[in-house]
Amino acid sequence: METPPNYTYALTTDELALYWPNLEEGKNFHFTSLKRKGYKCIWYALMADVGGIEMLWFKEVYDLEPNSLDHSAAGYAKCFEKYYGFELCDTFDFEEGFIKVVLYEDQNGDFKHVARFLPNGNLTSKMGNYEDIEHTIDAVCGNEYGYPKLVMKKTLNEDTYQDFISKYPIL
Amino acid sequence: MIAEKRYRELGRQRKRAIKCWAYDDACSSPLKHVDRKRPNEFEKKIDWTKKPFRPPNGTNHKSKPKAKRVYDVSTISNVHVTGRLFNEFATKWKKETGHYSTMIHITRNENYLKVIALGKPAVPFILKDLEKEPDYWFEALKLLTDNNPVPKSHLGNLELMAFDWIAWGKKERLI
Repeated sequence: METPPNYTYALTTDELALYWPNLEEGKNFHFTSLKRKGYKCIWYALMADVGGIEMLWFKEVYDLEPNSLDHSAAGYAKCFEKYYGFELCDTFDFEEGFIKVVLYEDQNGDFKHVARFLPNGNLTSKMGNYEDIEHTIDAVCGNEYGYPKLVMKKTLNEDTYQDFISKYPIL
Repeated sequence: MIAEKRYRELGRQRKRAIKCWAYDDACSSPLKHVDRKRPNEFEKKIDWTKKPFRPPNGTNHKSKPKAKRVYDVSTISNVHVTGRLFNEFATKWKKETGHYSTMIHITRNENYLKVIALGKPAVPFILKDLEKEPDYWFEALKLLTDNNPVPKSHLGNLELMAFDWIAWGKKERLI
């Protein structure tokens, strides 16, 4: 089987039902667009001008000690704060002039997913290797992605945003 | 239980009878040195006290269940077997972890660990898979080869990381 250009993959209905049983198309989510496989939800949500952002790669890029790595939402929040200028906040809603993200943590205390707020109050997420979707905050909750744990925000500079969009049009 | 006791008793009686016959025969025969071997050999071939295998009702010897296939990956040296196992594990791994976002969950998957357990013979197959389509094989490659050709500036960029590893593989003549 030939792989589509840019290695884009679409979620099947079976996968949706298996991993995110709460998702109901048309009710609490809809597909936005196909995205290439080369990056995951963190890069998509944070819109940071760095490649894939990931705890194991933080370790190499910033020379962190392997034993000090914290794979919980709080651990990721610390890295987002330290390296990408995000700050923790309390309100789970959209704020004008900010990039605002929600960090999901599962029952084992592992960081699992991050989604970005849209002006309409919904969130946008890239689902692993697959496409991005627009959904409500609790639609992706469950065993796979866990539950919303922390909210972070960062001042959105319009020029930087436009630069980013022009640099990564596929995003 | 009664049937089994009876069966064993019959076996014992039969054994006793053979011994008696063999003794008489050995003593009466002019070729004693040959005949004396007969009962021992006979007893060696057939153990009358042992219950023979009987297939369950409704089955015959052909329908005997086959032993479950177990992969002993520690002793695999055959390239074809490694390739087949790699394909099997890699397909399952991709299917099971496609929706994950964090590397720790992607690389903690059972099938990913099985690929690592295949050892160094799996490296050419991983590199070929990377050539076909970039994927997150970097942790396994690092462990199996004790190498890391990816510069810091490429970290996190799936395509560039894959490209670095493929270039390394070609340099080492693994692909």
